[in-house]
Order: sequence, then structure tokens, then C-alpha cells
Amino acid sequence: MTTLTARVLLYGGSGGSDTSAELVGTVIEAIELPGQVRQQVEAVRADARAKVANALDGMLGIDVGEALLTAWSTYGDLLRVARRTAADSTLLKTVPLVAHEAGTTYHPRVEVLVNDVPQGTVNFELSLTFAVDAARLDLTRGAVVAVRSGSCVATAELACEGTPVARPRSSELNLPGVVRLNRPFVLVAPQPG
Amino acid sequence: MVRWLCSVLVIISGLLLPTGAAAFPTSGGSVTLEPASGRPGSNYTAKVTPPDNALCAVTALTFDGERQWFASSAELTGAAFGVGSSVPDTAQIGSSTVVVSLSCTWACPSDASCPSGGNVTLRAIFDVTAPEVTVPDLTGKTRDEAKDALGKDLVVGSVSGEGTVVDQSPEPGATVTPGTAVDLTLKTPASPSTPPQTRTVTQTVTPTEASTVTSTETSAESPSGSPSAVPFDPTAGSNGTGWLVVVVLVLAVMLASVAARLLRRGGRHVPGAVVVSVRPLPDRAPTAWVRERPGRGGERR
Repeated sequence: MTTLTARVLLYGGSGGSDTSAELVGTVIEAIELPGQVRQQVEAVRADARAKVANALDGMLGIDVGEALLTAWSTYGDLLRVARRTAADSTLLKTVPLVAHEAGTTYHPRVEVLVNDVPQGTVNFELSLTFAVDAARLDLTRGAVVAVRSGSCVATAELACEGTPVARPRSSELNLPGVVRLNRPFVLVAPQPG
Repeated sequence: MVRWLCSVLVIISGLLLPTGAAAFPTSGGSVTLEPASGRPGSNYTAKVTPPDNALCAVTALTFDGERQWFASSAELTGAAFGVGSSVPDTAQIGSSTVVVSLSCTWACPSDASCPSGGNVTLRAIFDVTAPEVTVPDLTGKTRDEAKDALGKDLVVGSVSGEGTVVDQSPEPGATVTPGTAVDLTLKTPASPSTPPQTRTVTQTVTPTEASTVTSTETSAESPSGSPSAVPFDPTAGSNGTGWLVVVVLVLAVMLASVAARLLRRGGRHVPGAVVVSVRPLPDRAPTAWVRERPGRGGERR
């Protein structure tokens, strides 16, 4: 099973070159080049845009499941249970979560250099939001160790310098399939002893 | 004609399905554009393998740049189809990206396992990566090394001599169109253990002074080209002509040395050459939030 990435959530496809090509194709013309690059000839500007878009593509391999876990790490109710399991290493708690919304926003940037001289950055914003239903998590030692059930509608949005460059796309996801815990996701550091 | 290097990437870019319809089985719907790469002016064929039992129709094949160049349609039934097209001359292209799109709709018999209907758009993006290329410095390379250094963008032109490159045309750092031939002049390098060849130059300054200037010059084959290899007897010329010659020679050698060093460093230091690079800066500390949805299912303990 492959990891669901923000890139695939945004543009669909297999997550390989087809997805990357779609991303680059839609983002490339929306990129606002910084500094001196704007005064360059079209060929140089096009080259710069392509490189920025490809660099962005490389940064969108964000694991959607991990983004949800990151959002959950701010969930007060979950943190309370996590603290209890961190204090008692023998405790394993299954936590049903109420229907909730969660989100994680990333701000990837791409610095543009001309002849190795920095010209400024192109700023992006990737927003991943989740409308979660019927999630049940296993917690022990302050960490999420399993997602037993639940579903969510995940929505991804991408903006360049505040301007949307991809229309929001939503997908309905089965949580145990998306949140893949190869190792425990620590919410609260376990207490020694 | 301006030459373009194009890479063709074919993607399934959009999927519009009626409510309740299953997703297009992308794993079974391979999409290719043949040839896989090329440049405008070439012929391309888009091929799609639709779902089993699907009826598929190509509704349009368009090339989008500053203007729309081409539209074609074809009706077909079955497992595979193709449509050919031609991209017009690149001189008309004002955008760095040329998008080929192909729209396909399909319908299945009611008892088929494929979606009952839908539309998929296939887009091939011609990403113009290098409308111009910079000629690399081939000095000191063998013919084969020079060929490798030129890569796929440039080709070896006429070659004279044997050994390693001592001269090339166009010069290193020159900006040329892809496919340009670079002429090479080769020469067998002097053995490193062999000291630079020297020759004695005897110059009579003036008959009346009956004196001669003897200087030892580093030959053209010398790798150093150092001005210190030009000793001179300052007493030889009473009118200062000898000093002038030395100063001019030293300055010329220094200038040549600096120019050669700059060229060896590559085209990016040649005035006018612009090299754009980027540095990705991922967000290591994203912002996160959670809020409950009142009135929805679920329970809290």
C-alpha cells in the first residue's frame, strides 16, 4: 500500500510523474517571481518558474495521515488521555473521538537564486483539512499506536502568495488505511519510570 | 528557427463523474503520447485504453499556447484508439508550456462493471526546458570527453588535430540553440615531465648601441603562461623601449591568464549569462488545529 500524499490529494493520479506534471502545469503560470528575476528575459523567467514548480512538487510529498496526526496532536481531549497513558506505561486506552474537524497548514517556500545570489522566495500555502467521523484510536505510553476505525473527508488547497493555484479537492478516506503508523506517534512524552 | 527541447508528460488531469458513479479505473486506463518526447512540428499520437466494454470518443485534441492551434475529433468503439495531430511551428509559441488536451467520454452497458458514464481529460504538457544552452569549456578534454560534456543538447562539429582540446568554436560560455555543432581543435599535450620548451630570441635594438636583447620565452605549449618566465636585461635599451615591451608583454599575459581562468570556471561567470537555481525550504513547523462539530455523530469519553 502506498502512502497518500498531499500531491495526490491535490491532483489525483498515481502520485508519480503524471501527478507531478499536472501540478507543474497548473502552478507554473501562477508563480510570482521575486526580485531581479522578474526583469529577466522570458526564457529565464520560464526556466525559473519551472524550477520553482518542480521544487514545490518535491515538497508536496507530505503524508496526509501524518498531517492528520499532527492536527490531532493539538486535540485537548486526546492529549488528556495521552497524558494518563504516559504516566502509566501499563495503560492502553481506546479513545472514540467525537465528530470533529482538524487541519494542518504548511508554508513551503522556494528561494530563487540568480548566479547563486538569492533574489527572494516564492511562498506557498498548503492547507489540509479533515472532517472526521467515528474515529477510534489506541493510545499507550503517550502515543497513538493504532487507528482502529473512522472515516474522514480530506480537503487539500494550495495557494501561491495568497492566490489559490489549485481548486480545493476533497476525497473520502478510510482512516485506518490513511493513517499508517509504522511507529507510535508521540503526543506526550512518556514519564520515566 | 528557434529550437525547443520538449519533454512530454501525459497525465490524467481531470475526472468528472455523475453523482454516484464509480471512479474511472485509472489503473486500467493507460495513457501514452507517442513519441514520448519531441518538439513542436512533430507528429504525436495520443492513445488511451478505456475501461472494458466502454464506448469512447475523442472529442477534442487541442494545443493551448497563446492561441489554440488544433482541434480534431474521432469516433471509435473498442479497447484502444488513437488520434494523430501535428504541432505547428515553434515560432508561434509564446508560452513556455504547451498543453495538449484530449477529452474522452465513455458509456458502458448497464450490466458492465465499468462506470456508467463520465469524462476524463488527458493533458500532455510540453515543458520547454532549454530554449538556449550554454557552450561548456572543453579545454583539455579528449574528443570523447568533449562529446560527453556537450551532452544531448550540442554536437561535436569539425575536429582537427589529435590529443586534447586547445580551441573550440563557439567559445565557452556562448549561448546557442540546442543542436549547435561545436568545432574542436585538438593538440597533443606536452609530457608533464618535460620542461617547457624554450627558445632564444635575439633582437638588435639599435645598430649604434651594438647591443642585443636576449630573452627566454615560454613556448606556446607551456601550460603555465607565467609572465615571470620573461627575463630581461634592463641595461639593454637606453631609451626605455625595452621596458615598454616588457610591461606590455606582462600585461598581455596577465590579461590572457585572467580571461582563461574565468572561462574555465564555466559559462555562469561570463557576463550576460544568467543561471537560475532554486532552494526548496519545506515547512518543518506547520500550524495545526482541531475543533469539534456539534450535532454530529460520535461520542466522547
